[in-house]
Amino acid sequence: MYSLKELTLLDENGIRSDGRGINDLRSIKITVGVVKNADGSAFIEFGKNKIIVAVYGPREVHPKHMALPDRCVLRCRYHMSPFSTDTRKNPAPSRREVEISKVMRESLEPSLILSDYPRAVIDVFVEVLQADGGSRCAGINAASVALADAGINMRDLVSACAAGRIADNIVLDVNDLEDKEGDADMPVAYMPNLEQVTLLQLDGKLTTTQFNECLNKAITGCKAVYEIQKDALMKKYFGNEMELKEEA
Amino acid sequence: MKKTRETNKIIPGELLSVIEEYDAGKNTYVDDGDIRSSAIGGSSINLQDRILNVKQKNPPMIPKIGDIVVGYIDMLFGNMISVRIVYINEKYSKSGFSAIASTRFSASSGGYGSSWRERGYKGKYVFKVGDIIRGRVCSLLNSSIHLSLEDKDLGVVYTICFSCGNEFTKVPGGLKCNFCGNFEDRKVSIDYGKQSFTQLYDMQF
Repeated sequence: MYSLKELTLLDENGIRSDGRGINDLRSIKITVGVVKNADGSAFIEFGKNKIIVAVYGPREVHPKHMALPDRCVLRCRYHMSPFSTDTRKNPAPSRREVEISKVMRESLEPSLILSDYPRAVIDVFVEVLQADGGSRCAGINAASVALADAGINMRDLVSACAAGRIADNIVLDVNDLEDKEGDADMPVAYMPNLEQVTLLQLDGKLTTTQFNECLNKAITGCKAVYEIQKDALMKKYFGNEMELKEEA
Repeated sequence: MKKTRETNKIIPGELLSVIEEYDAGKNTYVDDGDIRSSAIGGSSINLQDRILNVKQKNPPMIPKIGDIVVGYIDMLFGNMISVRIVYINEKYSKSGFSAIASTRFSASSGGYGSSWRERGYKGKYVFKVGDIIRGRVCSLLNSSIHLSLEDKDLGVVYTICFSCGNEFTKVPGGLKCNFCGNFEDRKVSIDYGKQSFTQLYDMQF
């Protein structure tokens, strides 16, 4: 725990509370194919966030009246485990979880070619095992990789990263402390190849200049995350070929 | 001259070419004149037809036209049956897709058709709920999976006696119970009883 008196979100040398600079991402590690029974899955460690995502489908829709004749239904469930936060979290879906499930679905939907699977459903289950701010962005990153792992036709991977304002500075990838004590937080999801934003939220106040700077910084973060997502998929699907090439 | 050119390591969204050079083929899409991949795999260019395809490494298990599926009947309606698919090309599928099939057959496919129509049978007497059947996907019209049961190797592959619950033996024109002698009309596959579907039969209940 920290005391507010001692708290310095950004010191005079531009070093943040966790030792990062203003343009630094937290360390990211993605593992693909971790859930045996799922059609696609991924595990992401985004700083102290630990999130597991499983994708099931395309499969038959239940209840059947939800099926759409021309395209697939995408369902998304974001859930925080009771042990994922400092104090125990009630396992029942909270208002925040319902909202994040919705925004995650809406951020992933533009990247999927849902018309290829009419009358079917794709279920995405996002389980937060450990949370440290930016769990929706980390969840989107893992969900996108898991969807690609499930073999769903996609226009592009979706990469997400937040930027925010602390002590009048725009910083990349805000953590839990900066999210709570900072002035603004802007999660952005982005399709790097198509250069399209699929999610943009803003909590706090920014001037037009700050907004632009914040958005550009978040997109830079998304592009860095994309490289990690790409490497994770390459490692799973072309791992042996890549190793052989390196040896040669 | 080579007819195809192949490259490896493609992930969704990657730029492959432009529409001026090639036509977008399988697992690709066109965005603003660019041909991009929609799947993980390797690209294959047909240099004769100028078509760019992506060979997907992890295709989802979805029934396609020509696939042989095995499943159980979960509903009968008039001349149609609804089949819950469990195996696609002998691979277990968890997707739980439903398919529909017609119970009208030509005489050449197993002795039914004109003969059962003459006898006044309706489709529902040819199959019963719970029968394990093998069918071929013949159409995906209106986003529904349509099965054909016309060939000799298609039809009922396993069922049990509805009177006593014992095993059936294939006899000309249908099935006969080994225990109680009950005879039931079915469109039976040529290899009825050769494969054990006991587990699959139990799974549905």
